[in-house]
Amino acid sequence: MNSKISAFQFYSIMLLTRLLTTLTYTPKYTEEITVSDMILQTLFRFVFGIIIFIPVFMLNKKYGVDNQKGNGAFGKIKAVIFTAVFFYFSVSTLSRLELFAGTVIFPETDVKFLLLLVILFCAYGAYLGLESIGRSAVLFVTPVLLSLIVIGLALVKRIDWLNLSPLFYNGVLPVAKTALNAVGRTVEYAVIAVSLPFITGNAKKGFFIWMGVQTFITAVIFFFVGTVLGEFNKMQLFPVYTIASMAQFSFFRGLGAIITGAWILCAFLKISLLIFLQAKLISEAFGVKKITVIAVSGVLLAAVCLFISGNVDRFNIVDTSFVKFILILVSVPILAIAELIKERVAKCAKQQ
Amino acid sequence: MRKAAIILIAFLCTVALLNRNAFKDDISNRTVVQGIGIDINDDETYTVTLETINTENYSNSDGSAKPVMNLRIVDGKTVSSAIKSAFSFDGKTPVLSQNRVIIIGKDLAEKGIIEALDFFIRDAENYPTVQVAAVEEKAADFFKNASDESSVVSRNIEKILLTSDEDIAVTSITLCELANRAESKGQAFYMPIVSTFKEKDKPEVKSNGTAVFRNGKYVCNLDDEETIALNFLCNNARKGAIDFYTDNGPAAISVIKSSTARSVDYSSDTPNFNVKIKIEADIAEASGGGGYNLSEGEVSTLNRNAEEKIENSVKSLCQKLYSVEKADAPGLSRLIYIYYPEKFRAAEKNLSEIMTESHYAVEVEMCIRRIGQDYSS
Repeated sequence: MNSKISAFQFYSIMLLTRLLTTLTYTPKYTEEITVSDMILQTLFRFVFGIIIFIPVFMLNKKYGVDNQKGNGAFGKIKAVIFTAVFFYFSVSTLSRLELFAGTVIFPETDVKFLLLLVILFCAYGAYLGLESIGRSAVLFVTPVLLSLIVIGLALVKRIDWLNLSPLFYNGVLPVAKTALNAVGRTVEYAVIAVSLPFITGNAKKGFFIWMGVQTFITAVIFFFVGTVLGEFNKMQLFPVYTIASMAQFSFFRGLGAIITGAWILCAFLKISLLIFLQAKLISEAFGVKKITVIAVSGVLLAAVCLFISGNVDRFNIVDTSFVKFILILVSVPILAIAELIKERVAKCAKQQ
Repeated sequence: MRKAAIILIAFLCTVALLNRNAFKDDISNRTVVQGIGIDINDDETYTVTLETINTENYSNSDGSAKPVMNLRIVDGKTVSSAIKSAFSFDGKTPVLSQNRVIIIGKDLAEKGIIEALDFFIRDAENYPTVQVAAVEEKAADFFKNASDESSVVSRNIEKILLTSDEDIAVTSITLCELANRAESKGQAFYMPIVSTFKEKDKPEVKSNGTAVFRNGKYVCNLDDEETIALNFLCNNARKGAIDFYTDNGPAAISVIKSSTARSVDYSSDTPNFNVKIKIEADIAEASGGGGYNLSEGEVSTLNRNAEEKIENSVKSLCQKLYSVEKADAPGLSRLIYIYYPEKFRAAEKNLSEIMTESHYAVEVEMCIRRIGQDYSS
């Protein structure tokens, strides 16, 4: 549980988990913007992502990464907030997976059993620890990226440049709003903020590389979605799956299965990591055994996801972008700023 | 590494369960749909024709072969309810993911097709790459006339439509492209027309021009020559033969390669569309026949005649589509949207008038690669 992980392993996990969010995006997040703005907003995300992370870097620079470990009342509050955020995003990720499986893969079958199976495997993954999740991520990152490249190459002939649109056709504000929504759906910022103490190597440099790589991949995915599907992308529940199912080369047709594989793989890693972090934070702050936290988190996750399962209204409540944005805002910059203030006050009190 | 392997195995187990067919019935309990025809009736209900594969009992009790394909014709208030009712009597599960083509009946084309296609866009089992085509009769009658119980009509249609990459006289459109064009700003759309004919008493299908739609409703037909011009205008022309007349009689070129660059500029408030078509072609048949050697001057004349023929066809198509039918099926208004967004915003409400008043300049540059023999001296 106290094991460390290399920056490469850690950001491999982050890349795959963020990729999951992109692969599973639905058009409601981008409905206010046109095709070209959809690609352009990834740059806005990059800038916003760095801005909200500045307080975390300031905190680490001033007081070191070990400061992040939960001590005292503030540490307990921090642990509870992060745990709540990670639990919420676990529910959201699993519900999205259930929506995908129930809509696209077997629409006429109850997928509750699958849901329970995934939770069981993820809980076991969390029990194995961060190192195992990191090694798995390193193992998976190459095939996932290769499969995306294959799908991209197979889609080249379907690109229609006339599907592009003038930049900022609906103004800059909708583009900025869409990018902010995307930042809100990036739980990785919270994960990085809380995981810095376990990362060996240059975590800061890794962060910027990760931001650049994931922005580039997201822009490329949106480019294909926009130029291949045009306005049709707004009529699809999962546009990335749709373009993958349209990809074909030689006698291979409908490469949607590849995306399904990448999706499940990333979901495994993401949920395992989120459960692991909940266990880590709660066990450190309150001295509870990690296995107990994993079990409780798994059971709660199953209960909430089964409640949401098969009900699109409940899913929409869990999937609200505004709630996610507030959670990320509170857990990343606001908590870091609060800690900076707390440390400063404590330092002043000591000097007096 | 052992722990990573455990996670990998867990992942593979779940992916295996995520196989689309993991929880489905045996093939004999399912009906594989290969083609769907849609008609609308006077009372606004739909008639849906399903061409399905016979998945059981390939022979009758007397040993004679059973038909490979079945036709199911059913009515419903919506397309989806009609499809469901088609399978209610035998309890089989329909498999729509193998559907190759959606055939639009004439009445439905005239009344508007967008509502009828909603099911195909919404339902995840339908692939967005399924081909869409129109017929000049009821879709049910088309399937009845085209079926001979031993071949799959829908697959034949799909094969013909997929040759649009190789044959400039054939157009094609997928469900995804159709929905995109119907939703895009200022765009109409087109789809191929298919028809049946008898070959040695055996029914066959062929592509037979193009149908143009505006606001989801059929507006006009394009014949083979206009279809070729449409393919040139839309940069979809790749290969195929073009006949034309010279002073000495008919001749033909074989297009090897073609590309079309489309641009727009403004003089005052009127858009000027510039269409530049570059073609590489062989002379397939020279006027006069007899295989005589062509002189350099004759080749040049053939080249010029072919260029004029294509140029005039494309210009006349623009005139027909933009001035007469007011249907922007080639999607030229999209160029204004991309390159002059402010002008497009101002013109959005009366786009068809703007497109009617626009100027269309067509330039064809053809390079003859081979004449089949050497120049005559």
